[in-house]
Amino acid sequence: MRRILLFLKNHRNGSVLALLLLICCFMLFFRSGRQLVLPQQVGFSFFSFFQNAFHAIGNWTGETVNSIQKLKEMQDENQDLRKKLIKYRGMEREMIALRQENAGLRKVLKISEELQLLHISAQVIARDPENIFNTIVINKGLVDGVKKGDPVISVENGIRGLVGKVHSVGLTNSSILPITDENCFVAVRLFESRFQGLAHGQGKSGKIEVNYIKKRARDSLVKGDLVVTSGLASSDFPAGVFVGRVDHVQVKDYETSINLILDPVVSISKLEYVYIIKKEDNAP
Amino acid sequence: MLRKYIIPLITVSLLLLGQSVANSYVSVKGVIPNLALIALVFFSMQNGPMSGQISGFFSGLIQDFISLSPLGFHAAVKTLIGFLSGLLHGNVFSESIFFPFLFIVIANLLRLILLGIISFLFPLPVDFKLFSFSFLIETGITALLAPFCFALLRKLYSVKRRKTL
Repeated sequence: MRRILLFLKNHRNGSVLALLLLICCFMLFFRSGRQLVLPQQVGFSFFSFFQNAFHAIGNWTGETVNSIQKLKEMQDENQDLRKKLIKYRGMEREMIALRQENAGLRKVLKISEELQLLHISAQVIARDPENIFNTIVINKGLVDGVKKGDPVISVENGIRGLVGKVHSVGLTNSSILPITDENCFVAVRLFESRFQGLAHGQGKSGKIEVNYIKKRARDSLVKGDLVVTSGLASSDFPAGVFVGRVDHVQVKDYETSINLILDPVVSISKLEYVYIIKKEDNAP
Repeated sequence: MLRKYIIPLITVSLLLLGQSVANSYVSVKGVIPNLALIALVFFSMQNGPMSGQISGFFSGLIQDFISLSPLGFHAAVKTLIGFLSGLLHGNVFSESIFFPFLFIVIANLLRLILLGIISFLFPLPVDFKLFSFSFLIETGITALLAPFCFALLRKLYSVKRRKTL
Protein backbone atom coordinates (compact mmCIF):
# COMPACT_ATOMS: atom_id res chain seq x y z
CA MET A 1 0.00 0.00 0.00
CA ARG A 2 2.80 2.33 0.97
CA ARG A 3 4.56 1.47 -2.28
CA ILE A 4 1.50 2.36 -4.28
CA LEU A 5 1.09 5.66 -2.47
CA LEU A 6 4.77 6.42 -2.99
CA PHE A 7 4.46 5.57 -6.68
CA LEU A 8 1.40 7.83 -7.05
CA LYS A 9 3.21 10.63 -5.23
CA ASN A 10 6.25 10.32 -7.46
CA HIS A 11 4.16 10.16 -10.61
CA ARG A 12 1.48 12.66 -9.75
CA ASN A 13 1.01 14.05 -13.27
CA GLY A 14 0.83 10.64 -14.87
CA SER A 15 -1.58 9.34 -12.22
CA VAL A 16 -3.98 12.26 -12.66
CA LEU A 17 -3.77 11.88 -16.45
CA ALA A 18 -4.57 8.17 -16.17
CA LEU A 19 -7.50 8.92 -13.86
CA LEU A 20 -8.96 11.58 -16.16
CA LEU A 21 -8.61 9.37 -19.21
CA LEU A 22 -10.21 6.51 -17.31
CA ILE A 23 -13.20 8.74 -16.53
CA CYS A 24 -13.43 9.68 -20.23
CA CYS A 25 -13.27 6.02 -21.28
CA PHE A 26 -15.91 5.14 -18.68
CA MET A 27 -18.26 7.81 -20.02
CA LEU A 28 -17.66 6.81 -23.63
CA PHE A 29 -18.07 3.12 -22.87
CA PHE A 30 -21.26 3.39 -20.86
CA ARG A 31 -23.08 5.88 -23.04
CA SER A 32 -26.64 4.84 -23.90
CA GLY A 33 -26.97 4.85 -27.68
CA ARG A 34 -24.81 7.82 -28.54
CA GLN A 35 -25.08 9.85 -25.41
CA LEU A 36 -25.16 9.72 -21.65
CA VAL A 37 -28.65 11.04 -21.24
CA LEU A 38 -29.15 12.66 -17.86
CA PRO A 39 -25.76 14.34 -17.15
CA GLN A 40 -25.64 15.57 -20.74
CA GLN A 41 -29.09 17.16 -20.45
CA VAL A 42 -28.20 18.85 -17.17
CA GLY A 43 -24.91 20.10 -18.59
CA PHE A 44 -26.55 21.22 -21.80
CA SER A 45 -29.18 23.20 -19.89
CA PHE A 46 -26.53 24.87 -17.75
CA PHE A 47 -24.11 25.84 -20.50
CA SER A 48 -26.85 26.85 -22.92
CA PHE A 49 -27.47 29.72 -20.51
CA PHE A 50 -23.99 31.06 -21.37
CA GLN A 51 -24.57 30.44 -25.06
CA ASN A 52 -27.74 32.53 -24.78
CA ALA A 53 -25.77 35.28 -23.04
CA PHE A 54 -23.07 35.28 -25.72
CA HIS A 55 -25.70 35.30 -28.41
CA ALA A 56 -27.48 38.25 -26.79
CA ILE A 57 -24.21 40.22 -26.37
CA GLY A 58 -23.23 39.51 -29.96
CA ASN A 59 -26.65 40.59 -31.21
CA TRP A 60 -26.67 43.76 -29.13
CA THR A 61 -23.18 44.84 -30.23
CA GLY A 62 -23.89 44.07 -33.85
CA GLU A 63 -27.21 45.90 -33.79
CA THR A 64 -25.77 48.99 -32.08
CA VAL A 65 -22.96 49.33 -34.61
CA ASN A 66 -25.29 48.64 -37.49
CA SER A 67 -28.01 51.01 -36.33
CA ILE A 68 -25.80 54.11 -36.70
CA GLN A 69 -24.83 53.19 -40.21
CA LYS A 70 -28.34 52.12 -40.99
CA LEU A 71 -29.77 55.49 -40.01
CA LYS A 72 -27.78 57.20 -42.74
CA GLU A 73 -28.62 54.49 -45.21
CA MET A 74 -32.28 54.71 -44.32
CA GLN A 75 -32.43 58.40 -45.18
CA ASP A 76 -31.10 57.69 -48.66
CA GLU A 77 -33.30 54.66 -48.93
CA ASN A 78 -36.34 56.72 -48.00
CA GLN A 79 -35.79 58.98 -50.98
CA ASP A 80 -35.42 56.03 -53.31
CA LEU A 81 -38.44 54.30 -51.89
CA ARG A 82 -40.66 57.31 -52.48
CA LYS A 83 -39.76 57.14 -56.15
CA LYS A 84 -40.28 53.40 -56.27
CA LEU A 85 -43.64 53.65 -54.53
CA ILE A 86 -45.12 55.40 -57.51
CA LYS A 87 -43.82 52.63 -59.76
CA TYR A 88 -45.06 49.85 -57.51
CA ARG A 89 -48.57 51.21 -57.32
CA GLY A 90 -48.86 50.35 -60.97
CA MET A 91 -47.48 46.88 -60.32
CA GLU A 92 -49.94 46.27 -57.50
CA ARG A 93 -52.82 45.70 -59.89
CA GLU A 94 -50.78 43.11 -61.74
CA MET A 95 -49.88 41.40 -58.47
CA ILE A 96 -53.50 41.01 -57.43
CA ALA A 97 -54.15 39.08 -60.62
CA LEU A 98 -51.10 36.89 -59.99
CA ARG A 99 -52.21 36.19 -56.42
CA GLN A 100 -55.55 34.97 -57.60
CA GLU A 101 -53.85 32.68 -60.08
CA ASN A 102 -51.48 31.42 -57.38
CA ALA A 103 -54.33 30.67 -54.99
CA GLY A 104 -56.01 28.65 -57.70
CA LEU A 105 -52.88 26.62 -58.39
CA ARG A 106 -52.35 25.93 -54.69
CA LYS A 107 -55.82 24.55 -54.43
CA VAL A 108 -55.13 22.21 -57.31
CA LEU A 109 -51.90 20.90 -55.79
CA LYS A 110 -53.33 20.74 -52.25
CA ILE A 111 -49.96 21.87 -50.92
CA SER A 112 -51.40 24.12 -48.31
CA GLU A 113 -53.52 21.30 -46.92
CA GLU A 114 -50.57 18.91 -46.69
CA LEU A 115 -48.31 21.30 -44.87
CA GLN A 116 -50.61 22.95 -42.39
CA LEU A 117 -48.67 21.81 -39.37
CA LEU A 118 -48.57 23.02 -35.80
CA HIS A 119 -45.14 24.42 -35.13
CA ILE A 120 -42.87 26.34 -32.78
CA SER A 121 -40.56 28.81 -34.49
CA ALA A 122 -36.98 29.04 -33.20
CA GLN A 123 -33.76 30.84 -33.97
CA VAL A 124 -30.41 29.11 -34.48
CA ILE A 125 -28.10 30.55 -31.84
CA ALA A 126 -25.04 28.29 -31.88
CA ARG A 127 -23.23 25.52 -33.71
CA ASP A 128 -20.45 23.07 -32.97
CA PRO A 129 -17.44 25.02 -31.66
CA GLU A 130 -14.97 22.91 -33.66
CA ASN A 131 -16.98 21.72 -36.67
CA ILE A 132 -16.46 18.07 -35.78
CA PHE A 133 -20.14 17.33 -35.21
CA ASN A 134 -23.12 18.88 -37.03
CA THR A 135 -24.50 20.46 -33.87
CA ILE A 136 -27.20 23.12 -34.25
CA VAL A 137 -28.47 24.81 -31.09
CA ILE A 138 -31.81 26.66 -31.10
CA ASN A 139 -33.33 29.04 -28.57
CA LYS A 140 -36.39 26.96 -27.67
CA GLY A 141 -36.47 24.20 -25.07
CA LEU A 142 -38.59 22.34 -22.54
CA VAL A 143 -40.41 25.46 -21.35
CA ASP A 144 -41.55 26.15 -24.91
CA GLY A 145 -42.90 22.63 -25.35
CA VAL A 146 -40.05 21.15 -27.38
CA LYS A 147 -39.61 17.39 -26.99
CA LYS A 148 -36.84 15.02 -27.97
CA GLY A 149 -37.43 13.58 -31.43
CA ASP A 150 -39.67 16.41 -32.67
CA PRO A 151 -39.12 16.97 -36.40
CA VAL A 152 -37.59 20.28 -37.45
CA ILE A 153 -38.17 22.01 -40.78
CA SER A 154 -37.18 25.27 -42.41
CA VAL A 155 -38.34 27.30 -45.38
CA GLU A 156 -35.93 28.06 -48.20
CA ASN A 157 -36.90 29.55 -51.54
CA GLY A 158 -40.53 29.03 -50.63
CA ILE A 159 -40.09 25.29 -50.05
CA ARG A 160 -40.55 23.71 -46.64
CA GLY A 161 -37.60 21.38 -46.27
CA LEU A 162 -36.59 18.95 -43.56
CA VAL A 163 -33.78 20.09 -41.26
CA GLY A 164 -33.63 17.12 -38.88
CA LYS A 165 -34.99 16.27 -35.47
CA VAL A 166 -34.55 17.46 -31.90
CA HIS A 167 -31.67 15.55 -30.36
CA SER A 168 -31.56 16.82 -26.78
CA VAL A 169 -33.67 19.33 -24.93
CA GLY A 170 -32.47 21.80 -22.34
CA LEU A 171 -34.64 24.13 -20.32
CA THR A 172 -34.54 27.00 -22.81
CA ASN A 173 -32.41 25.55 -25.62
CA SER A 174 -32.36 22.42 -27.73
CA SER A 175 -29.87 20.80 -30.03
CA ILE A 176 -30.86 19.47 -33.44
CA LEU A 177 -29.57 16.37 -35.18
CA PRO A 178 -29.53 17.51 -38.81
CA ILE A 179 -30.65 15.28 -41.67
CA THR A 180 -27.07 15.39 -43.00
CA ASP A 181 -25.83 13.57 -39.86
CA GLU A 182 -25.07 9.87 -40.25
CA ASN A 183 -27.34 9.05 -37.28
CA CYS A 184 -30.45 10.75 -38.63
CA PHE A 185 -32.75 8.29 -40.43
CA VAL A 186 -35.97 9.29 -42.19
CA ALA A 187 -38.51 7.26 -44.14
CA VAL A 188 -38.88 8.92 -47.53
CA ARG A 189 -40.52 8.48 -50.92
CA LEU A 190 -39.89 9.86 -54.39
CA PHE A 191 -42.24 12.77 -54.99
CA GLU A 192 -43.12 11.74 -58.56
CA SER A 193 -42.94 7.96 -58.71
CA ARG A 194 -43.81 7.38 -55.00
CA PHE A 195 -41.15 4.68 -54.50
CA GLN A 196 -40.14 4.42 -50.85
CA GLY A 197 -36.74 4.32 -49.20
CA LEU A 198 -34.78 5.17 -46.07
CA ALA A 199 -32.69 8.34 -45.98
CA HIS A 200 -29.75 9.18 -43.75
CA GLY A 201 -27.02 11.79 -43.79
CA GLN A 202 -23.53 11.32 -45.16
CA GLY A 203 -21.84 13.52 -42.55
CA LYS A 204 -19.46 16.27 -43.55
CA SER A 205 -20.12 15.94 -47.28
CA GLY A 206 -23.49 17.56 -46.55
CA LYS A 207 -25.34 15.09 -48.78
CA ILE A 208 -28.14 12.65 -47.97
CA GLU A 209 -28.16 9.00 -49.00
CA VAL A 210 -31.37 7.10 -49.70
CA ASN A 211 -31.27 3.29 -49.55
CA TYR A 212 -33.70 0.51 -50.40
CA ILE A 213 -35.27 2.20 -53.43
CA LYS A 214 -36.57 -0.48 -55.80
CA LYS A 215 -34.55 -0.87 -59.00
CA ARG A 216 -37.66 -0.24 -61.08
CA ALA A 217 -37.55 3.40 -59.95
CA ARG A 218 -34.32 3.91 -61.88
CA ASP A 219 -36.06 4.35 -65.26
CA SER A 220 -38.20 7.25 -64.11
CA LEU A 221 -35.46 9.03 -62.15
CA VAL A 222 -34.10 12.36 -63.32
CA LYS A 223 -31.44 14.52 -61.69
CA GLY A 224 -33.19 17.13 -59.56
CA ASP A 225 -36.19 14.91 -58.72
CA LEU A 226 -37.63 15.75 -55.33
CA VAL A 227 -37.74 13.36 -52.39
CA VAL A 228 -40.26 13.87 -49.57
CA THR A 229 -40.89 12.31 -46.17
CA SER A 230 -43.27 9.37 -46.40
CA GLY A 231 -44.79 9.89 -42.95
CA LEU A 232 -44.97 6.20 -42.09
CA ALA A 233 -46.84 5.49 -38.88
CA SER A 234 -43.65 4.55 -37.02
CA SER A 235 -41.86 7.69 -38.17
CA ASP A 236 -41.65 10.94 -36.18
CA PHE A 237 -41.77 12.95 -39.38
CA PRO A 238 -44.97 14.21 -41.03
CA ALA A 239 -45.63 13.23 -44.63
CA GLY A 240 -44.89 15.49 -47.57
CA VAL A 241 -41.97 17.53 -46.23
CA PHE A 242 -39.26 17.97 -48.87
CA VAL A 243 -35.98 16.31 -48.00
CA GLY A 244 -33.71 16.76 -51.01
CA ARG A 245 -33.14 16.69 -54.74
CA VAL A 246 -31.59 13.71 -56.51
CA ASP A 247 -27.95 14.44 -57.35
CA HIS A 248 -26.95 11.03 -58.67
CA VAL A 249 -27.91 7.36 -58.54
CA GLN A 250 -25.71 4.50 -57.35
CA VAL A 251 -26.54 1.16 -58.92
CA LYS A 252 -24.90 -2.14 -58.01
CA ASP A 253 -25.70 -5.13 -60.19
CA TYR A 254 -25.72 -7.59 -57.31
CA GLU A 255 -28.22 -5.58 -55.22
CA THR A 256 -31.98 -5.53 -55.63
CA SER A 257 -32.26 -1.88 -54.74
CA ILE A 258 -30.55 1.35 -55.75
CA ASN A 259 -29.08 4.15 -53.66
CA LEU A 260 -29.75 7.82 -54.30
CA ILE A 261 -27.52 10.69 -53.29
CA LEU A 262 -29.47 13.85 -52.57
CA ASP A 263 -28.66 17.50 -52.13
CA PRO A 264 -30.67 18.74 -49.12
CA VAL A 265 -33.49 21.14 -49.92
CA VAL A 266 -32.40 23.44 -47.09
CA SER A 267 -28.82 24.64 -46.64
CA ILE A 268 -28.02 23.36 -43.16
CA SER A 269 -24.95 25.60 -42.82
CA LYS A 270 -26.94 28.76 -43.55
CA LEU A 271 -29.93 28.13 -41.28
CA GLU A 272 -31.15 31.07 -39.22
CA TYR A 273 -34.72 30.17 -38.32
CA VAL A 274 -36.33 26.76 -38.02
CA TYR A 275 -39.77 25.36 -37.17
CA ILE A 276 -40.29 22.51 -34.74
CA ILE A 277 -43.27 20.48 -35.85
CA LYS A 278 -45.67 19.35 -33.14
CA LYS A 279 -48.21 16.61 -33.40
CA GLU A 280 -51.67 17.92 -32.58
CA ASP A 281 -51.90 16.04 -29.29
CA ASN A 282 -48.40 17.25 -28.29
CA ALA A 283 -48.86 20.88 -29.17
CA PRO A 284 -47.91 23.31 -26.40
CA MET B 1 -5.17 27.50 -7.43
CA LEU B 2 -7.07 30.41 -8.98
CA ARG B 3 -4.22 31.38 -11.28
CA LYS B 4 -3.19 27.89 -12.22
CA TYR B 5 -6.54 26.14 -12.62
CA ILE B 6 -9.58 28.42 -12.43
CA ILE B 7 -8.49 31.23 -14.80
CA PRO B 8 -7.30 28.86 -17.55
CA LEU B 9 -10.47 26.78 -17.26
CA ILE B 10 -12.79 29.80 -17.36
CA THR B 11 -10.90 31.38 -20.27
CA VAL B 12 -10.88 28.21 -22.38
CA SER B 13 -14.55 27.50 -21.60
CA LEU B 14 -15.69 31.03 -22.44
CA LEU B 15 -13.79 30.88 -25.73
CA LEU B 16 -15.46 27.56 -26.54
CA LEU B 17 -18.93 28.94 -25.86
CA GLY B 18 -18.07 32.07 -27.83
CA GLN B 19 -16.85 29.94 -30.73
CA SER B 20 -20.10 27.98 -30.83
CA VAL B 21 -22.11 31.20 -31.17
CA ALA B 22 -19.64 32.94 -33.50
CA ASN B 23 -19.75 29.96 -35.85
CA SER B 24 -23.10 31.20 -37.16
CA TYR B 25 -21.81 34.70 -37.91
CA VAL B 26 -18.11 34.90 -38.78
CA SER B 27 -17.12 31.53 -40.20
CA VAL B 28 -14.86 31.29 -43.26
CA LYS B 29 -16.12 28.40 -45.42
CA GLY B 30 -17.87 27.08 -42.29
CA VAL B 31 -14.69 27.24 -40.25
CA ILE B 32 -13.64 29.59 -37.46
CA PRO B 33 -10.28 29.92 -35.69
CA ASN B 34 -9.97 27.59 -32.74
CA LEU B 35 -9.16 30.19 -30.09
CA ALA B 36 -10.01 27.75 -27.29
CA LEU B 37 -7.22 25.46 -28.47
CA ILE B 38 -4.75 28.36 -28.53
CA ALA B 39 -5.73 29.29 -24.97
CA LEU B 40 -5.46 25.69 -23.78
CA VAL B 41 -1.98 25.28 -25.26
CA PHE B 42 -0.87 28.64 -23.88
CA PHE B 43 -2.06 28.02 -20.32
CA SER B 44 -0.71 24.47 -20.33
CA MET B 45 2.70 25.70 -21.41
CA GLN B 46 2.67 28.37 -18.73
CA ASN B 47 1.47 26.21 -15.85
CA GLY B 48 2.63 22.69 -16.59
CA PRO B 49 1.00 19.32 -17.29
CA MET B 50 -1.21 19.14 -14.17
CA SER B 51 -2.95 22.43 -14.92
CA GLY B 52 -3.06 21.57 -18.63
CA GLN B 53 -4.73 18.22 -18.23
CA ILE B 54 -7.29 19.46 -15.69
CA SER B 55 -8.20 22.53 -17.78
CA GLY B 56 -8.33 20.30 -20.86
CA PHE B 57 -10.53 17.71 -19.19
CA PHE B 58 -13.14 20.14 -17.89
CA SER B 59 -13.21 22.35 -20.98
CA GLY B 60 -13.56 19.22 -23.13
CA LEU B 61 -16.42 18.10 -20.93
CA ILE B 62 -18.16 21.44 -21.48
CA GLN B 63 -17.68 21.01 -25.23
CA ASP B 64 -19.30 17.57 -24.96
CA PHE B 65 -22.25 19.12 -23.14
CA ILE B 66 -22.93 21.68 -25.86
CA SER B 67 -22.32 19.53 -28.94
CA LEU B 68 -23.68 16.27 -30.31
CA SER B 69 -20.54 14.41 -29.27
CA PRO B 70 -20.81 11.68 -26.62
CA LEU B 71 -19.71 12.64 -23.12
CA GLY B 72 -15.98 12.07 -22.70
CA PHE B 73 -15.09 12.43 -26.38
CA HIS B 74 -13.62 15.92 -26.42
CA ALA B 75 -12.70 15.59 -22.73
CA ALA B 76 -10.22 12.82 -23.55
CA VAL B 77 -8.72 14.70 -26.50
CA LYS B 78 -8.32 17.96 -24.61
CA THR B 79 -6.91 16.22 -21.53
CA LEU B 80 -4.14 14.74 -23.65
CA ILE B 81 -3.45 17.99 -25.51
CA GLY B 82 -3.32 19.86 -22.20
CA PHE B 83 -0.97 17.28 -20.70
CA LEU B 84 1.37 17.16 -23.72
CA SER B 85 1.47 20.96 -24.03
CA GLY B 86 2.21 21.13 -20.31
CA LEU B 87 5.29 19.00 -20.80
CA LEU B 88 6.77 21.93 -22.73
CA HIS B 89 6.50 24.08 -19.60
CA GLY B 90 9.83 25.82 -19.05
CA ASN B 91 11.50 24.02 -21.93
CA VAL B 92 10.70 26.30 -24.85
CA PHE B 93 10.79 29.96 -25.70
CA SER B 94 7.11 30.69 -26.30
CA GLU B 95 7.59 34.43 -26.68
CA SER B 96 8.91 34.25 -30.22
CA ILE B 97 6.50 34.56 -33.13
CA PHE B 98 7.41 31.27 -34.74
CA PHE B 99 6.94 28.86 -31.82
CA PRO B 100 3.27 29.62 -31.07
CA PHE B 101 2.59 29.15 -34.79
CA LEU B 102 4.37 25.80 -34.78
CA PHE B 103 2.80 24.60 -31.51
CA ILE B 104 -0.72 25.33 -32.73
CA VAL B 105 -0.14 23.56 -36.05
CA ILE B 106 1.12 20.51 -34.12
CA ALA B 107 -1.68 20.74 -31.52
CA ASN B 108 -4.35 20.94 -34.23
CA LEU B 109 -2.86 17.98 -36.05
CA LEU B 110 -2.65 16.07 -32.78
CA ARG B 111 -6.27 16.96 -32.00
CA LEU B 112 -7.50 15.42 -35.22
CA ILE B 113 -5.32 12.32 -34.85
CA LEU B 114 -6.64 11.80 -31.29
CA LEU B 115 -10.24 12.35 -32.45
CA GLY B 116 -9.64 9.70 -35.09
CA ILE B 117 -8.14 7.24 -32.61
CA ILE B 118 -10.95 7.71 -30.07
CA SER B 119 -13.69 7.44 -32.68
CA PHE B 120 -12.00 4.22 -33.85
CA LEU B 121 -11.64 2.72 -30.36
CA PHE B 122 -15.21 3.60 -29.34
CA PRO B 123 -16.94 3.22 -32.71
CA LEU B 124 -18.33 6.69 -33.25
CA PRO B 125 -19.64 8.06 -36.54
CA VAL B 126 -17.24 11.00 -36.71
CA ASP B 127 -16.77 12.04 -40.29
CA PHE B 128 -13.68 14.16 -40.78
CA LYS B 129 -10.73 14.06 -43.10
CA LEU B 130 -7.30 14.83 -41.74
CA PHE B 131 -6.17 16.84 -44.72
CA SER B 132 -9.51 18.22 -45.84
CA PHE B 133 -9.84 21.75 -47.13
CA SER B 134 -11.71 22.91 -44.03
CA PHE B 135 -9.03 21.42 -41.77
CA LEU B 136 -6.30 23.27 -43.67
CA ILE B 137 -8.23 26.53 -43.45
CA GLU B 138 -8.86 26.05 -39.73
CA THR B 139 -5.26 25.16 -39.02
CA GLY B 140 -3.99 28.05 -41.12
CA ILE B 141 -6.21 30.71 -39.54
CA THR B 142 -5.68 29.38 -36.03
CA ALA B 143 -1.90 29.16 -36.45
CA LEU B 144 -1.69 32.66 -37.91
CA LEU B 145 -3.61 34.06 -34.97
CA ALA B 146 -1.60 32.09 -32.42
CA PRO B 147 1.36 34.53 -32.02
CA PHE B 148 -1.03 37.46 -31.43
CA CYS B 149 -3.20 35.47 -29.05
CA PHE B 150 -0.17 34.25 -27.13
CA ALA B 151 1.07 37.86 -26.81
CA LEU B 152 -2.36 39.06 -25.68
CA LEU B 153 -2.86 36.22 -23.20
CA ARG B 154 0.65 36.74 -21.83
CA LYS B 155 -0.12 40.40 -21.27
CA LEU B 156 -3.46 39.69 -19.61
CA TYR B 157 -2.08 36.85 -17.59
CA SER B 158 0.98 38.98 -16.72
CA VAL B 159 3.38 36.14 -16.91
CA LYS B 160 6.92 36.74 -15.86
CA ARG B 161 9.37 36.13 -18.65
CA ARG B 162 11.09 32.84 -18.44
CA LYS B 163 14.51 32.33 -19.73
CA THR B 164 15.02 29.60 -22.26
CA LEU B 165 17.03 26.65 -21.29
